[in-house]
Amino acid sequence: MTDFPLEETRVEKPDKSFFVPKLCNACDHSPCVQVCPVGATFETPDGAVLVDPEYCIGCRYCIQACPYGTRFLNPITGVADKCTLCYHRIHNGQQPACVENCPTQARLFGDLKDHDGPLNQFLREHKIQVLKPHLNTYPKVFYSGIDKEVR
Amino acid sequence: MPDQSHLYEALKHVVGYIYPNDIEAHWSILIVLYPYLTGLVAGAFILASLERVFNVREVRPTYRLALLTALAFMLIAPLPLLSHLAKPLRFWEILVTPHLTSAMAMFGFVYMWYLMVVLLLEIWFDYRRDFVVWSRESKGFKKFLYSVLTLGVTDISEKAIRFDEAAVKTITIIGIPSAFLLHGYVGFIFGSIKANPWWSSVLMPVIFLFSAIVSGIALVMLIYLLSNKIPPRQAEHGVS
Amino acid sequence: MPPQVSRLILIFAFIGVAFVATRWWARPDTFGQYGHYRGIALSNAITRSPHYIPKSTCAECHEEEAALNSAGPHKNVSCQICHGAGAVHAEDPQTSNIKKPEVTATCSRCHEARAARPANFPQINIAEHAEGEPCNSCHVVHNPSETK
Ligand code: SF4
Ligand code: SF4
Repeated sequence: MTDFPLEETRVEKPDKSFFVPKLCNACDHSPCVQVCPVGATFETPDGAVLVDPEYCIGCRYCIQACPYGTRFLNPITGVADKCTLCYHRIHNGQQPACVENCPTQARLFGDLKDHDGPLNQFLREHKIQVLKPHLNTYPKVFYSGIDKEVR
Repeated sequence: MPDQSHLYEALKHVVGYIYPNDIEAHWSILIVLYPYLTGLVAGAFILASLERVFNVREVRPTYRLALLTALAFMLIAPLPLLSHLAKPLRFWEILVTPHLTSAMAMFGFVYMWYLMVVLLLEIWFDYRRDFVVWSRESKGFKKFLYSVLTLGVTDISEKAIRFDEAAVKTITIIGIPSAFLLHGYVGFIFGSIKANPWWSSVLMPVIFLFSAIVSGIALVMLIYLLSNKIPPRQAEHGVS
Repeated sequence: MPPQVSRLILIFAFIGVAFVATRWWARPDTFGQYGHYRGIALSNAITRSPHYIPKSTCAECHEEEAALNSAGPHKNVSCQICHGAGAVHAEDPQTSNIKKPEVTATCSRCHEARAARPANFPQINIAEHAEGEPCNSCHVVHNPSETK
């Protein structure tokens, strides 16, 4: 790893370039929930996808199944782990930590079911893209203004 | 806490983006071992069924060997899976709360069906007469072991033996689709992963099946050759 | 029925009953409350304690820095962007449990020129711009539009 050809991989003047922060897309039809053999990954009644760390057997099947590569085996707890959409914060009246701390306010969090809420208003007014739409996972994370090529 | 310094070392070389799971992008070698073992089981069983169901006389000497090979590999097949789990002591959850949409959750049931209903039953019916004879002839612990294995049924009359043979044949007929199920299902574990374009194919179970047949037959051939060479002796013809 | 079959049926029935009984006994209490998972996992997830605190909590003690910060272009930047998660520090204020950021490296995380950054975002080539000087030798860290 130490001899990684750092310089050669740098493209000096790309035509186009994006930052695409990847997080769990909280899929509506989540492949990770579908494949978990014991029900340790589940979709909550309000739409987040969580891991039950006391029930996960660490089979890593969900890590293989997630099309967005957002799951990992937590080396400290030894169970599958991922972005929880800050479930503990959003249920106590706070924004997710990434939304609250983003220095340029690039992230927006809101209730998708609230049709007149700020999130749905934003979705109506902007060009919106989801990642890998052909996999029919119906993500609940939307990206505004990125290209189709971004996966 | 495990040492993670190598991860930070590797992170320094990242240009561009990484996925959160780049810590562990691949399933480990133990996951490769498991389909390999069940493939050997299914293949060996199919070789045994050649003799019983399809009356291929040439493979008759390998019948019992093939069955026992299948049993031996079946017994150790879950070990790589178990040791691959990050929390092996929670394995029982797969049997207690299986999630029916998950290919992996069916593992326990397919495995149990194949081990208990197919392999053990067929071997028991095939060896039943021998168990009874051996339990009469041997002494001490062996006698005790064989009498337990007869399950207390000592009837070896002509009629009972004929029933055993019919039972073996029926079980083998059930066993062939079960062997396909056992290994085709392993292919399905991989085939149902949409996220990996190299895996997600309906042909996966078929590919697994054919490689199983080939590798299982090859294994029995190898064991048969070796067991006839070391120690050198005549090939056993017509045991059963 | 031949004796071997009735014996086998007995054994299989015993195994079957034992399996069903074990399943019934080992199934977690709250399993299936909302779906195919332990219901208690939901409340466990909700009661986890946050690592990041609101900016106003920092301002309760660090009035001077908060005033500097809210006067400048970083007024929307959370303290914890540079200083790391602060929940532990807020409970028990110690210098050891909050990060003292490395100045130049932290600044370059956002302000080093990159093609992907919006054109109107302030970006510099740090090596040329500062010629090896740390950023805070000219800029006031908590309000970088002011210079010393
Ligand atoms: S993005 Fe991955 S981890 Fe998140 S819900 Fe979808 S499949 Fe699951
Ligand atoms: S690693 Fe854990 S959460 Fe993922 S599929 Fe296996 S048991 Fe479920």
